[in-house]
Amino acid sequence: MSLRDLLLRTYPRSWREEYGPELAGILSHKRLTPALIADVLASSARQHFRRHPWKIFALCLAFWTSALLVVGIEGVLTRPELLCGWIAGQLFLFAAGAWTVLHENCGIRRATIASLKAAVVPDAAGILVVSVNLLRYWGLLNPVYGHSGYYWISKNAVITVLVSVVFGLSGAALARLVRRFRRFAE
Amino acid sequence: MARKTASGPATDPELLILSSLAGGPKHGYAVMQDLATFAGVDLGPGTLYTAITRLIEEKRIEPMEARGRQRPYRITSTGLGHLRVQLQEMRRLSNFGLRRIRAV
Repeated sequence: MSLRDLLLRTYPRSWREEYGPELAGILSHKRLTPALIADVLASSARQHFRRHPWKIFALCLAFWTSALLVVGIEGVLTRPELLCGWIAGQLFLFAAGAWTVLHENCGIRRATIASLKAAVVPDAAGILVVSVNLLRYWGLLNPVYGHSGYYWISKNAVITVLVSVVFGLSGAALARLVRRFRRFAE
Repeated sequence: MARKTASGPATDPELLILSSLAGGPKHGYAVMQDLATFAGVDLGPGTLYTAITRLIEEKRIEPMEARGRQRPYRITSTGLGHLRVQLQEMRRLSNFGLRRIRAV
């Protein structure tokens, strides 16, 4: 697969189906410079966020979850300021579910999938951070942080995913109720 | 972003595309070449298609029947009206700026 194909694949599938052949035609006439690659990547990111707004939340949450897990989730649950941060992350998910329903005017199936994705993407990032921390704990990397919480984190990673999904779905369900209420009022 | 090549203003990609299509329907690559010629702007393909997508959503341009991999676009009456208003506004601003420069 060439770099041009890879660049095209960074766009959302629905966009590719519509404009992919045209963009491929233009790229075949152009020399791939760093500026052109940056231009195409920025454009594909914009298309992702325009077509699937939940990805904005997912991206924010990916950074947020990673940051919190670097600090250590045990600390998150014992230190009030970090606990507030964790709750804020869950509220992000709640908003992601709600916004997806309201913005895309989609049905419950699509909203469910969208909120599931919004929940799973950051948790996957979180699990990656946990894995790195476990490697540190096992002495494969230099331990930087204390390791008392790492086993606890891996044990509870599944629970974290489930809690996130529940928040995302709750947001989607609430938005559906709001939409139904609006229709009823009209 | 629209990049300036030799001379000419680096400006709003959507306005540039509308200006190009005001001269007749064109496909994406032809729009890029046209912009390089008349505005001296080397529009990146990503920027071009982001702007085209938005213009279609706003019903300022519309796609025509595809010819192979190329699909021409044409400006709509809404797009033409928008372009006219924007260019008049630019002319007003330009006249104002030039008057101020002359007064210096």
